[in-house]
Amino acid sequence: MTDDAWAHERTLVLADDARLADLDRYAAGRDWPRVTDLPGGYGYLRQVGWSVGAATVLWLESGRLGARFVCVAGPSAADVDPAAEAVGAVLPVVTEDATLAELTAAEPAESRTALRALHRLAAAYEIRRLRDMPAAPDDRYRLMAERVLAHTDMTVRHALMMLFADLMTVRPEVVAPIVAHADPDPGLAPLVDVFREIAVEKGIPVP
Amino acid sequence: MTTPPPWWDTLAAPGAELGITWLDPGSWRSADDLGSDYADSPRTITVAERTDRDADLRAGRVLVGTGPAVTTRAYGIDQPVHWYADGDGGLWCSLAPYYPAWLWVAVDPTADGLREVLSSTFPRRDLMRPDLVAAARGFVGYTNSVGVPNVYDGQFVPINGHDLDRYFGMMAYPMQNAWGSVHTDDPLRTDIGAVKPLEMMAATKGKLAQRLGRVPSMTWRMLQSQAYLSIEIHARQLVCAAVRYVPTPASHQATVRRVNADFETAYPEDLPLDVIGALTGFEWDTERTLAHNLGPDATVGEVAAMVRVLYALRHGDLGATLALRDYVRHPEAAVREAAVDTALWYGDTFMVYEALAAETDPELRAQLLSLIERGAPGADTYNAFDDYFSGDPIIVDGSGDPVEAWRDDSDEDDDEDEDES
Repeated sequence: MTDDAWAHERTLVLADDARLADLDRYAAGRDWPRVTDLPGGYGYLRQVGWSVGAATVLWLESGRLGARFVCVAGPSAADVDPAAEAVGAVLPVVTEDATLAELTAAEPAESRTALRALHRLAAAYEIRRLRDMPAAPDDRYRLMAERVLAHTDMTVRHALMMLFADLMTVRPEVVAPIVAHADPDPGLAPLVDVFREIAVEKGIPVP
Repeated sequence: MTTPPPWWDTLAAPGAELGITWLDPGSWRSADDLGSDYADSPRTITVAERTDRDADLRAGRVLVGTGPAVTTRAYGIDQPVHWYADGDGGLWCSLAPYYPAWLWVAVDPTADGLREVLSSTFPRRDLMRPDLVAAARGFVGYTNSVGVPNVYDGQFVPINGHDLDRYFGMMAYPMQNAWGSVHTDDPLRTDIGAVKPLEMMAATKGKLAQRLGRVPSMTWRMLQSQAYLSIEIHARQLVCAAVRYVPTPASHQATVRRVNADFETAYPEDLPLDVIGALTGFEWDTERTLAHNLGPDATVGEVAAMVRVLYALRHGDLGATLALRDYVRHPEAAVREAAVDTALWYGDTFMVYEALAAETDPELRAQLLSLIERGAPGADTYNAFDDYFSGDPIIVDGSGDPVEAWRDDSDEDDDEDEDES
């Protein structure tokens, strides 16, 4: 795909019960040609792709994130939106709103749920991260980071820092709360320092 | 048998249209006495039960037609379909002369029936990976127990790339020349007729390399179905057979049901017949056939080993792998360790967080934290097939650059090897 083919992009993060076969059947029924089928691997996304007019629909699986998502990309919103809506109607999707709501709720999510939510957020921005595409500012990410840093399980706080160290250029809203964080677990203090160093290196303003 | 069956005259025209040559009844030949004209054998591992079944099924059947044919890659030999009649008015299709009778397909003796049974192979068109929409994987065994016959003396040797390549190259079911995980698709054209061996060597140079990060594999394209049959080695010790294919017509599926019933196998019913033929002599275990390893009587060691096998069998389907998350919370530490180790081998690092969130053993917690902070161990560079390519790379990275492969075949025992992994 050319850069132009990535001018517009929408990622839909899938629920755990989403089935590739359902999308495959839908695509076959609409004569979307299957154009890509690449195996996943250590550090590789599994990819199955269909051509839909000027847009491409990619089913992606990330073993690193434990998440599956569909990326619809094309030269214009008019190419991308109808295909993305169609995919969203065929497959169960976990919206970004729902994921952020889980992580910003007054009552902290159970650790496993919070970890899944963090990995899903990372999946939502995986393509933008890989292609260095900016995202529209969203201050809910600052609140999300603040709430997650208050989680009682250090595993969850740790995951936030590790996952968003990769995503800080796409979601710089998380940087301020993380670099200001004084973690009660002495083991996490060095991680905050590393996070700050990475932010400085990437030219992200650090308070 | 020399009396034409009732359908005989009705199939002349559609047969000719499909490239079938019906033989004059005077030249029909008994299926169990075809002589040197049809002496081709599948040249696979011999399994007595299957050889006997082949002989039983041939009795009373006669060769009544041949064609159309598929031309083998590199050798340029035509392999025609064979048609057999039985004494009960039945018509049977053998997709090539070397198919044993337990792989023959019962044919509805009509024009539509002929078309249906041939539809998986004819008309011929190149199928590539996106066309091969179905996938299946069977567990063959552990590297220390899976043997491959040496093609010269027939003796079984431990699984390795060189002997696998020679064995599958000699066998009749696949097209010539395997490829490694560096390729996701058949790197050679399917329509290469006879070529000189040196030309073939040049065309296949470098094709057997492995791609860093992918499960080490050797893949062959099957001659009739064009399916991709891969022998994979997961986590250095689990041997699987993985197949990408187009589901077969209904008539073929009836044959697979019969094969499964006769030989107590568990092949998917829509698996191509040439794949099943090529796997003769190898196990094909599935989650169902191995389920007892997770049963109430299974030991902790059996459950831990089964978790590794489940990961292998589900590789490539993250949705199925996600269902294994509970094993990182298993009450037995050995099972939790197996789940985490295996997940890390595939790069499924999210599992480490799930394990850490649930882990209460301080020592294991420290190990998990260390794993996360050091970063996962990286893609395995183990030379799984014990390959040697005269100095050419065995493993290459995503840019095609060589990566140093390693293999330690010193006299360490298996336990030490496991500890290292």
